[in-house]
Amino acid sequence: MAKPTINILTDEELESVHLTSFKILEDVGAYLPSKEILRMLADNGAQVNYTTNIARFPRGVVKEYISKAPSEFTLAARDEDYNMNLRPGNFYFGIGSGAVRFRDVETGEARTATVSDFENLIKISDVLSNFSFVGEAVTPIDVPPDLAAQYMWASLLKHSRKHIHMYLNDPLSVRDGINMASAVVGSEEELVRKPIIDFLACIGQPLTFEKRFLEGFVEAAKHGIPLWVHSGAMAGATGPVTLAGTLALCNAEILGGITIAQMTRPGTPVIYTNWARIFDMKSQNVTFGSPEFAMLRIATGQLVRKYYRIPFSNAGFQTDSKLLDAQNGYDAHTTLIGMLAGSNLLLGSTIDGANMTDPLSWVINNELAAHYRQIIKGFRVDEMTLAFDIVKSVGAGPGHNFLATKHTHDHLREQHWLDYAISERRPFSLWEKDGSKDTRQRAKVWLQSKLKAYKPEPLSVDVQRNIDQVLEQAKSRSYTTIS
Amino acid sequence: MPDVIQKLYESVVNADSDLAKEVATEALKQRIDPLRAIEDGLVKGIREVGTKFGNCEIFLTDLVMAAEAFKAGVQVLEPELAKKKTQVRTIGTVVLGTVAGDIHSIGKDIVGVLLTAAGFKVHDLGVDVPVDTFIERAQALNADIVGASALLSTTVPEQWKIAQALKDAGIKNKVKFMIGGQAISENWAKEIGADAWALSAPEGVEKAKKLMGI
Repeated sequence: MAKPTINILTDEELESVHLTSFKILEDVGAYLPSKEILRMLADNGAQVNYTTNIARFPRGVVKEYISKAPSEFTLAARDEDYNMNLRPGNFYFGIGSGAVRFRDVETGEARTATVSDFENLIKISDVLSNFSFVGEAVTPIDVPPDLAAQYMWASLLKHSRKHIHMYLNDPLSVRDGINMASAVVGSEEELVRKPIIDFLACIGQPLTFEKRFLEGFVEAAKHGIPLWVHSGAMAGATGPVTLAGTLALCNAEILGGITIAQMTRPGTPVIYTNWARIFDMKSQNVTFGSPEFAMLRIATGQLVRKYYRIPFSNAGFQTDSKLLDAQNGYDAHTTLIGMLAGSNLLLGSTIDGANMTDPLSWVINNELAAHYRQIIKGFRVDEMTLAFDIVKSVGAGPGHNFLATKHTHDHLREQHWLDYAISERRPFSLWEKDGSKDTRQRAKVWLQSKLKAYKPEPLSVDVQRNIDQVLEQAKSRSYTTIS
Repeated sequence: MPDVIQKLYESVVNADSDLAKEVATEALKQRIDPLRAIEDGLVKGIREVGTKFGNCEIFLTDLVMAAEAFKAGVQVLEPELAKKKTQVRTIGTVVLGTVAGDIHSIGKDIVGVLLTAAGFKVHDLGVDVPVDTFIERAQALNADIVGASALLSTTVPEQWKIAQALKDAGIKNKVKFMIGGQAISENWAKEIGADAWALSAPEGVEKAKKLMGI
């Protein structure tokens, strides 16, 4: 059974992109404003300038260090059923970070969230069995903004059974995240063995590592915490307007980040996260639904499969739509495209260009995740599945069919995917009799029944207290304590 | 309209920085009134471009390049204006920047271009700008508005610090404070005492105009 795949660049074109990325790291370099980190890079073969804060990486050095990144590893979860074994052919889905608004399930209103809303959203994510990881789904506004991350992490670790996806800000908050997670698994050593958290590290453009971000990046790598090394240059704005140019730039930034991680601690698990895209000059906004976005997902997959061979991520259900509507649905094609390209981790499940999140969209995406996994699975061709004997025994002529054959009965469930619950496939009259419900209404009914049956598994009181202690210490650093 | 002034207008409408510089230099040579050259040539051009952009007839990159041409022409003519002790009429002076610890710039850049097209004098301090720099520049440039952008929740407190610093410097009533960036909200703006807030560039321009009483 050949696995379906998708290509958009020739081998020659791929090589040009790959070599251009090396050239960028060699000739242009990256901006890394930390003398200490520059020194560490220089010790490992980079050419650094302490005045301009630019480090250039000879391609031999980049090749040497990126080869130290593990080609397979596991992202763990409190509930081991949600462990993610990252290797070619495995696909996992999750809820990303950064939304500032969410759509209230009951009222349908788009609004800001409190910590209590956030914890309700965690509960919802916990019943969606095809999501394996959860991030900072929506930033709560009833806590100091410089502590919002720590509040979210405390809630996630306490209430989610899944792998926790944290956003990398600075070294102190990285330490907070590590300390909270260590409290859950027992120790920091255990956390490295069983990483129930990771950090999404978004490199700035072009080739710019802001100081606190850079220090946080190195801190996370030092502790062996898995890092999503992300670049999302936007063609025309933060990258060249040409797609190949922005692809090469993002690739360079990511390879540079991976090099730095491996120089810090060889063997640091990293996830190649290339979000190369366009900046929409008509709407003056970031966009996830453009044809360019889809094309770049294909090219990204080719690059990783051919050259880097480490776990990688692509957009998972990210739409520009503000609603659960047709546009929301048709933007999902980029997720299937990313999976066909081989992307192990499909990150996002957001709307409004990642500024908003909608739990009912999550419900749809949860089903689509299984649906798409099924497509990639493919189907077997062998004596049993070709079913020649069955065709012969049923024979030709009117009135014959395959409904009552043992072969149909025995193999139906392995051959057809019937686990859908939201998709409406019944005859029109039955749908009408059932209330003519649209997708959103059906998703809401399904979710309500799942939540009714949901039994949370809280952490022990002691562990929760330890997590809260870390949060308390973080509070003492907040701007709110400045008089 | 004299040929030179028409050419200045066209250099902006056609987003040609080199032509703008060339024609501005020619205007100086011909001793054309620099204020007229700017207002009837360059400003007219950027207003036209701003209108076209608002009608979606052109795209952002066209507007940005036109603004570059506008600035290039103004740069050549401004010293002559200073000599004559005259100033281009503007709606107001805005000091813009992305706060310390944050290097996101695109949204701020778009606001800057739209403010310029709308008739404001804009001083863009760039990214990762410390509080002190915002205050010092606002005072030195006689700013009417300070605009601070923050995309990351963790850097949003810097906007609170700027609000405090404007108070401490005794210029809170003289200088209006506007905030923007994906991490802000109406709640936050009220909490820190900002005079205005906006979540999109066009909204930012409207609110800036309102702050100037337009």
